[in-house]
Amino acid sequence: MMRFCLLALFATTAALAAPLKLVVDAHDLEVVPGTMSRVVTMNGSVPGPVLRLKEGETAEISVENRLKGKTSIHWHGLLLDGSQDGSPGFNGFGGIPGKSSFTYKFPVRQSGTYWYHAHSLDEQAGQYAALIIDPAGEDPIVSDREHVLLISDHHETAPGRIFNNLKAESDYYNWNKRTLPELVRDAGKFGLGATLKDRASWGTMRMDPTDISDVSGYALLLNGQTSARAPWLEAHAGERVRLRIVNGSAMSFIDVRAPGAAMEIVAADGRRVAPVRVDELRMGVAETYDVMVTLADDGAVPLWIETMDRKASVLASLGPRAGMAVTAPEGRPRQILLAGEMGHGMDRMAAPGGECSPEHAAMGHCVMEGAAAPVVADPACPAEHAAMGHCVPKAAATPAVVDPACPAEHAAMGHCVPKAAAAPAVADPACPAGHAAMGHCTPSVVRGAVREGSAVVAGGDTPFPRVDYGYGSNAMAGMDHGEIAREGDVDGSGRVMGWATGAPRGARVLSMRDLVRAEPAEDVREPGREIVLRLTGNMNRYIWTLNGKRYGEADPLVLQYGERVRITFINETMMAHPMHLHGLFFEVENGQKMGQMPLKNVIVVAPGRTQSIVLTADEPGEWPLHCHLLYHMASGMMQKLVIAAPDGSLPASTPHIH
Amino acid sequence: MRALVVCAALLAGAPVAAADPMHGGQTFHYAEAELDYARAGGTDIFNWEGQGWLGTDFDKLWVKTEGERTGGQVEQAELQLLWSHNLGGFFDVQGGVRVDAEPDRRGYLVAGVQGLAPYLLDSQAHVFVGERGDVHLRVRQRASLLISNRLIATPMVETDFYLTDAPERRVGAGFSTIEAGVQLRYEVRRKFAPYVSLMFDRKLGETARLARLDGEDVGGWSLRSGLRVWF
Repeated sequence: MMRFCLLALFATTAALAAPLKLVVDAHDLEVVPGTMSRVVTMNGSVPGPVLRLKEGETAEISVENRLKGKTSIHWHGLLLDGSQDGSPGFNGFGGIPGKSSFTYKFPVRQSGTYWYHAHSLDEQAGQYAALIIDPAGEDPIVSDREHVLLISDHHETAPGRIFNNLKAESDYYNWNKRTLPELVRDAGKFGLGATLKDRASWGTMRMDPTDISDVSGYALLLNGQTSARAPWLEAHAGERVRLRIVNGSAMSFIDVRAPGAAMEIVAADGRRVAPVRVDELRMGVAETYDVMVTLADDGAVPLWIETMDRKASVLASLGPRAGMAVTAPEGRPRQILLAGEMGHGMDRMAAPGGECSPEHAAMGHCVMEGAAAPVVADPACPAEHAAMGHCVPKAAATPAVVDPACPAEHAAMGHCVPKAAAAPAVADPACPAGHAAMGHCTPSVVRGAVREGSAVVAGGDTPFPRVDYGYGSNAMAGMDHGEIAREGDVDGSGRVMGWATGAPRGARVLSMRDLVRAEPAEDVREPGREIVLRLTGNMNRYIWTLNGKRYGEADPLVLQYGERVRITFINETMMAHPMHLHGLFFEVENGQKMGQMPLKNVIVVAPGRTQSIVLTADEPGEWPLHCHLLYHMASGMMQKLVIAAPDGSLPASTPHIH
Repeated sequence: MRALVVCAALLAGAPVAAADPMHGGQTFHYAEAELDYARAGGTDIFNWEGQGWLGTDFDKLWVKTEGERTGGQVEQAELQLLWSHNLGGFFDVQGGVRVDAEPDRRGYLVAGVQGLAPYLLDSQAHVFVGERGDVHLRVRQRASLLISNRLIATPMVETDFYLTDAPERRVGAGFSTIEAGVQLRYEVRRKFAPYVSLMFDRKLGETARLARLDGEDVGGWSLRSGLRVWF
């Protein structure tokens, strides 16, 4: 009997990974050379240690909180029981009180690139780190070498104080505002009348077109290092080097490029996608991308990452040896929003819950036509047919990750020099340039081939092509021709107008529509209903909300188990919001067919745009759905999404809804 | 003070659904002070203005003070304590009390609105009902013009309009004072900005006539230099 019990014990613990331990504490660290900052560390460092788990194991991670106050650790992107998700106020988890410990335990049901962080302002103070999960079997993403790159924004000011500064003066950190001399320059470029009209339009909205990032003064870190520490990532000519990039920033969107190296996107938010070749990518806060880079020769190549407001950057070298000099490429222009962008994505105001926020009313957008629901239905598969599960998408059968011209073993020997690099986006004959410029063309999936990023399309006569970032049902977003200028044009002081990275003509910048999931989905049912969430706020008071309500003011969204639901985000603000859902992945409606849409857990909704996602409610529990900009979440831009158990019951902690 | 907070809470009423204490329901604070100096007619003139608040997104306790010290004598000193409730947009309604120490000691009840008007005008309008029955309105407008991101010109105007006479104060019904001008500040840091301002500060109408009768100066232009700080 004794022996049996021991055996049983052994059997149940066999799949248990070695227990991991994290100690959360406060330290003074020299994060930026020459300056000591008070930071929250995990196991003594910022970022915390890279955790490596294996699919199929049961993870056991004990967290000791040595801080005075409460903390939490959330496993970003993981499929797990809600009680282990680490979000205070959800699933009965109340946080980890000061001077106490908590042990997380969950089976690892997935693989890929993820991260973990405090689900509170402590995240900004340094409590974040990468989490890598190796697949149970062989990794379908074949690489010769890999690096984990956790990018983060470090501030010398404590997060609580930053938050208070924003509440006291919302433009506290914006040092890029338009000035009187720029008014004169714009008048010279666009004419006095048009310029004054533009200024008046922003003035009546009581918004600022330069407010694209709420917080500046950051130092951008790559695995905790600034450019001054010359971070080096080993890469040899011809090697397929997998960069697992996590944007662990609290508030900073980043533009990533490695001029001189071929870049191929192979996974997004931990999930494999059909490989897409790009020259650069913009990463919203909390997104992760696996990017395969290949160097053509033995020289070093710069990996250049800059924040969207161009106020912070980090330069690393990709090369065979440490200490090889690289120079930063020329910085890209700042962007400035077009007033017309605020006027789009709002043609669905008549949708349920469509009351009019003050900021919105100020824009004069509250009387609207009504308009159509986003239809992404496959014409070859009627909805009722789809509901029966009869529609299997035709395209995208396991796109080969490896270059067909170069077998893996050949590549391992370094014999394959990628053809990639140059080859500017091939024009799609089915999509004329003028049409493409309007963002109306969806790239088709080519079986087995590495696809070309198509994000940057011809932009007419503007100096910069417009960048399609954030794709929604409203393809006309940002296309107001009565505007002072067009997207991609520059203003009098050289800033690129509209939602654009300022990438040069011909550059391929990753677009959401480029992403196609690697393995087609099984559930291709059309969603049974739609939930509209307006992304709302009052920048002047620094209040950020969903449907005009702060977290706790609205009833939770309740989904039945197994239900297919479309959630449509209508961004009525001038900020891009990286919307994150805990507990499950959703499909991004990016113009791909149902079943091919990429799985993500963060979706960036660009200013004034509409973006929808589809999900199958198959993970019961209480899940936060929130903007991952830290101070937006902290000001209330969060909603509770509850998924009922298969028997229809709701979690005990979910309040009764009247 | 506590009574006022309780009062404010009662006025606000119990909210139907409250924001989460960690996600929207937090308490914040702000305190700003401007102190400047001018020399006119051989006299040193100090002006101060301060305002601050403590509270949540929608309900705040505001404190405002302003005053003037001329030639070693405090000529004007007032303090307001207001409860401020955000109407859900760019404006707050405010109500509370004002106590003046100079030119004479008296109290007022205050009600008004404060917020950001279209074209980014920082706007205030308040009505003051004095304990001796005098009633006046005060309207204030400020704007910001950026010469650079640090050098900021702020045109401003503030005027008092009396609906009644306030004889003890030598104020007549109608517009009593106007203070208009432009402040040019340099934000070394957001919270630390030296400034110079060119201000026209003058008594008006019946109030000006009374001042002349008393042989007093009705005011005029002054060049002030000062410091704006907040924390």
